[in-house]
Amino acid sequence: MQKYSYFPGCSAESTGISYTLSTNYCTGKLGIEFDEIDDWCCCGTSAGRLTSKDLGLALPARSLALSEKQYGDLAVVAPCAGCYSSLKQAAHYVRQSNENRTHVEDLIEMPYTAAAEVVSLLEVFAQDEVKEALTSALTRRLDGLKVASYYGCALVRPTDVCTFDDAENPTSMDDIMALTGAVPVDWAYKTECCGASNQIAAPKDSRVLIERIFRNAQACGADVIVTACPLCMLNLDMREKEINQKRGTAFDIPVYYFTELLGACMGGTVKELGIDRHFYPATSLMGRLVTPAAPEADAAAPEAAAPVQPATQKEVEA
Amino acid sequence: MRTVDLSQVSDQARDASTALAARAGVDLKDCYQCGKCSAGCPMVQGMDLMPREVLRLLQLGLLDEVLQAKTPWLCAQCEVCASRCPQEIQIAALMREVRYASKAAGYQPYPESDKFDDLFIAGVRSKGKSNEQYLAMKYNFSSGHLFQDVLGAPGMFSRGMIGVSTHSVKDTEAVRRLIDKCGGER
Repeated sequence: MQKYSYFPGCSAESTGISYTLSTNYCTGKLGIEFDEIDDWCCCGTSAGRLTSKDLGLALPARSLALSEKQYGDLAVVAPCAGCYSSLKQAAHYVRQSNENRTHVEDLIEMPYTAAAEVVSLLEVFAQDEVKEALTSALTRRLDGLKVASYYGCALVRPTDVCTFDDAENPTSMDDIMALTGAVPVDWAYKTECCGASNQIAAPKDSRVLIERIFRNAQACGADVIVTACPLCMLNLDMREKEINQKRGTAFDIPVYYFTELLGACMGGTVKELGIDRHFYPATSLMGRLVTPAAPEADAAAPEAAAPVQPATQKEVEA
Repeated sequence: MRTVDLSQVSDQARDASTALAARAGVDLKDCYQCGKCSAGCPMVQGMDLMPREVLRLLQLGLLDEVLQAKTPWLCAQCEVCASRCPQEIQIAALMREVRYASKAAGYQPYPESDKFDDLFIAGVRSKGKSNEQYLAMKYNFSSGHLFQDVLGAPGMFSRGMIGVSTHSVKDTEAVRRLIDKCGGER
């Protein structure tokens, strides 16, 4: 259906493995092709930018230049929000002037014209064409599941660079989640920072960022939090239990990648999607899946609401 | 309220502040101290100077005080300050410039952040990619926080998130050259 140049990012095979598994499951079902950039390197993320301005540009530009060499102007998809933001900022800088372009080309010792767009995974799924394909591929539903869509920083900021959604109240993930029958909740922490690497370097001053996110999600009635970034996911999922223990809170909110929820609705098992690898127990999701009755039954009894059946025990344990 | 005797601030210090801000694309005169940056900053509870105070001190030419502050080192680079600034001041970029200058001046206001970023880049310089398990381990050793997150590591191992093997680019030499060229050599 569609084809992208693919920048996996350093966490794709490690801490973000569930994101990769569930993304591959979804794109496989939808017929979207991801072609990996050969010999891509780390985007440098905030550590690159904080080391020097040049390093913040050159590390992502190297992989983008390789993509240009291998796939021309084919759009580059970066599922990790941090990678997405770094790549996008480099492309944005190069497009601003010939002087900028020459500067970056000198640093990476390769031609790079920034002809290709850099897109996030949310942008791929938010397209009308993909949403239509999703609607027919979703064989199970999550009716009534209250979802807090968590975008974090890097998908929407810097605001002059990351422009595909609203900076204060983005809705692309909410709209995608609504396709499953889930109910996106209105909440205030959609784009608040999770603390990123400060959770390692400055834990005392950063844990409260995570606590506030859970607190607001709980206050707004969320059953689950849904993310589109492996670092946001790790910070929330790995720290929830610790925060409950240390702060006396009683958060009970599993955290998912949006692709895990979509994959579950397309028939994926917890193993196939990586839902069994979370830190905070998350497999209860499978018990929330409902299979809508076949369309023929609807036609036979148009007055009655479509009967739904819970997922079988076998599906839950699969 | 704190009083600053501006007659004691040298023209040189004022010029240095202006030049530092200019490197971040910031004109210090743009800030009128509305405080939106500081109201929305998620890390402000740990900072010794609020983001707007960083701007104010730079406006006054009190550069050295800013270079010794923890604030730029605690900044998570989430960019929420810049996104909400009515004057479109690139505050996160300014924090980065202050960090470069603070490090160049030999200050260590928040050694952990500096250490983490240095180790991150050193890891990328060696393999071309970041290997999280080694980064966490090296950070714990070199920062002295030996047992931090020690409970997380077995959990990651059992989930197949980390292992002993590392991933690497093919052309490690190209990445190393790039990093050294960009002032990231360690």
